Amino acid sequence: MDDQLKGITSGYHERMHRIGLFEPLFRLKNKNGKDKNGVPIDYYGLGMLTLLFFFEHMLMRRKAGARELAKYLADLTRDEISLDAKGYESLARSIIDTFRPPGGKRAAHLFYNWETRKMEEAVYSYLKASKHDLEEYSQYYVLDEHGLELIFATKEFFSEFQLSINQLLLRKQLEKGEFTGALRQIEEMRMNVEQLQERMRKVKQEIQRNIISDEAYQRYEQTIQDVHLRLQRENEEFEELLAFVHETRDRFSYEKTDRRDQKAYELILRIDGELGEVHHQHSLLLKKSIELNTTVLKAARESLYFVAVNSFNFDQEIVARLVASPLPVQAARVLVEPFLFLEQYRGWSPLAVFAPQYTGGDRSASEEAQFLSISSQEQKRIDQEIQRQNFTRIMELICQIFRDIDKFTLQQMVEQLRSNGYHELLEHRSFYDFWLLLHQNSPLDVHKFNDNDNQEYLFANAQQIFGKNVKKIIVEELPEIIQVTERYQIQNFIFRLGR
Amino acid sequence: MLYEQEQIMQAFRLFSKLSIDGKGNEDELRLYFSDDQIRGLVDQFAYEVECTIISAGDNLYFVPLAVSSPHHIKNETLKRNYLKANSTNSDIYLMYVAIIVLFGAFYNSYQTIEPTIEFISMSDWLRLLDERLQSLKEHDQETLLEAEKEYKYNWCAILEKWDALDDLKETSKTQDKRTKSRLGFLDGVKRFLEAQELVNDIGNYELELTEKAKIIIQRYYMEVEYNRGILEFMYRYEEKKGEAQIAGNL
Repeated sequence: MDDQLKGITSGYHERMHRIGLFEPLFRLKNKNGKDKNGVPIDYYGLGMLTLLFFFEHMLMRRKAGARELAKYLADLTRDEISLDAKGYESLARSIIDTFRPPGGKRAAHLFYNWETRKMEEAVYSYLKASKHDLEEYSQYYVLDEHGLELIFATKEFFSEFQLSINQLLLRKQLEKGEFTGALRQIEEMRMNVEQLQERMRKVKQEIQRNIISDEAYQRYEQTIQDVHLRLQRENEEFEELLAFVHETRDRFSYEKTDRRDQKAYELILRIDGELGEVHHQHSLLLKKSIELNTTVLKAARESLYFVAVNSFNFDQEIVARLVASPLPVQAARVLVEPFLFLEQYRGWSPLAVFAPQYTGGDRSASEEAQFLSISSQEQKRIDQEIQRQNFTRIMELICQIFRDIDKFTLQQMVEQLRSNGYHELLEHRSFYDFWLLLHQNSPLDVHKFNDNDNQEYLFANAQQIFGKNVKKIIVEELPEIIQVTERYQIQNFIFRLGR
Repeated sequence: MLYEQEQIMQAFRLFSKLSIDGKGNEDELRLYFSDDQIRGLVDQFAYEVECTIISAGDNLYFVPLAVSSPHHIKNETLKRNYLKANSTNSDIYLMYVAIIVLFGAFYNSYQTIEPTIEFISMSDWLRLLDERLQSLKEHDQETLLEAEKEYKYNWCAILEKWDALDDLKETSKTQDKRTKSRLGFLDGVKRFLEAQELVNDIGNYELELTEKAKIIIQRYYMEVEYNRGILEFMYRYEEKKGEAQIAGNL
C-alpha cells in the first residue's frame, strides 16, 4: 500500500473519540416529548443550551443545578413551549440525566478501531456533581472534561483559525527538524487555502446574483473586512515561515556531510518549493479579497436601482398556480420568457456579390479565421510538447541501448530495438521525425540551446540525458535505404556524439 | 433630454452588441456604468423591445420581459432548432411547462432566496413534471377545454401527448430527442437549456443551474417591480375566470 495511505488509520481512536463526543446530543434528538399543547420539544437544541448554561455559570463562579436550569429554560422558551414549573424541572432533569447517566456509569462510545484492529471504547464525562446543599436539598453540577471539550468543539473560530494553527504547527515542526511531518502540514495548508478560495468564490457569486438590502450590505462588508484582516495576518506569518525555511535551507547547504543531512536537505528543498507555492496561492487570495470588496460596492450601488422581494417561492407562486387555476397554456410561454432569447433577423445583402469572395470553404467571416489561428497556435504548442516528450523518450532509449558507444547507425538501432522488445516504437511516426529533424539540424549544438528556437526546443532534454560533456550530436546520411516496417522506409544514418 | 451625438452612438453600439449576444462583458459593463446618460439610453432601447438589462458582477444580461412581444423568439425557430422535426405547438408548450417545473424544483422555499437543492436528476425532474401534469387532470374536462375556443392549443392536447409517451423507451439504448419517450423529450429540453446557458449537465443524468439562470431568477423574478408584474399577469387570468364563474352562477 501507498505510504501516504497507510497513514490514514493513524490516530483513529482520537478521531472516533471526537465524533462520539456529540452522541448525547443525538440521543436527545431522538427523544420525542411534547408540551401541553402537543408541540414537540426541541430536546436537541435545549441540550446544547444546557451545556452552555453550565459553562456560563462556571465562568461566573456561580452554582447551578437542575432547578436553576429549569428556571432558565422556562424564561428562555416562554413563547415557544408551554409547560408548568414542574414540567420544566422534569425536562431539565431528563437533559441532565442524558449528559450524566444516573447510574454513575460513564457515557461510552463503542467502536472498532481500524488501526489496532480491536474493539475499543471511548468514555466521556460531561457533567459532574460539585457541591450540594442539604438544607435546600439541591445538587449542583459543573461541566467535566468532555463537556468543556464539546463546547469548544462547537465554537466557530475552529475553521477560522485552521490556517493559523497549521502555520504554528509547521513552525514547531521545522524547529524540531521533523521535515516529513512538515511536508504533510504544508499539504494541509494547501487544502485550507483551496477551501478559502472556494468560499470566497461562493460569497462573490452570492453577492452578484442577489439584490442586496442595506442590512445585507453591512453584513457582507463586515465579513469581507474580517477576511481581509485575517488574510493579511496569515500572509505575514507565511513570509516569516518562508524566511525561516530559507535560513534552515542555507544552514543545511553548508553542512551536508553525511547521508542523513543530505536527505534532510532534499526534504527542506521540497518544503521550500511547496511552501512557496502555497504562499503564492494565498497571496492571490489577498488580491481576490480586494476584488470582492469592489464587487460588494458595485452590488450596493445596484441596489439603488432595484429592490428585492423578501421571499419568493418559485414552485408555489408560479408552478403551482399555473396548473392549479389552471392558467391558459399560453401563460407558460410568458412565464419562461426571461429565459428565452430574441429572434434575430438574418438577411442577405445583394451587395454581397461585390464583396471579396472566399473560395476556400464557406468560412467567410474574418473574425472566425482569427479565432482559428489563435487556437491553432495553441494546438501547435500542445503538439510540440507531446513531440518533445516523444523525443526525450527516444533519446533515453538511445542512451540505454548504446550506453558507452558514441557512434552507431540507424540500422543498428532498429535491430537493437527489435530484439529488445521495443518494436512498437518503430510503428510510431515520431521515431522517423526524430531522425529527420536531427539530420536537418546536424550538427546539433546541445550545450547552447536557446529557448526561442522551435526545432531545438524539441531536443531540449538532450544534454540532461547524454551528460554534460556531450557538446554536439552529429547525424550523417549513409547511402542505403532501410525498409523498417511495412509502412516506413528511411535513409540509413550514422549517429555520433561529439564531446 | 439632450444627448450628445457620440453618446447616442455609443449607447446604440452597446445595445446592439447586447441584443445579439444576450450578454455583455466587463468592458461593456464599464461603459454602461460610466455614463448615466448612456445607461439611460440603453435601458430605454431595451424597454422599447420589451427587454431589460440586468447587471450582475462582471456581466450584463439582456433579458426579455415577461410579456408577449413580436421580437421574442418564434415558436417556429424553437421547433426547428431544438425539437424533433414533426413537433407541434403542444410540444413547445410542454417544454415551457417542463422548464418552469425545473426552476420550481430549485426555488421552492419561502425561507431562503437561494436554491434549495444543488442539482436535480433527470428522473426527479420527470417525476415532478408528471405530478404537476397529473394534478391538472383533477380539473374537469370543461375547464381544460375552455381555452381551446380562444387558442389553437390547450391543456387537453398536452396531457394527451404526455400520457401517450412511456417514461423511457426500453428498446432504444439512448434517450434523446428522437426517441419517443418522456425522458427523450426532457433530453431535448435539456439541450435547449444548455444552449441557452441555463443548466449544466454534470454527468450521471444530473443537472445544475448556471450562474446565468440563478441571476435571472434572483435578479428578475425576485425584483419587486418585475415580480409584481408577473403576479399581476397571472392574477389577471385568474380574475377573468372568476368573473366568468360568477356570471355562470347568475
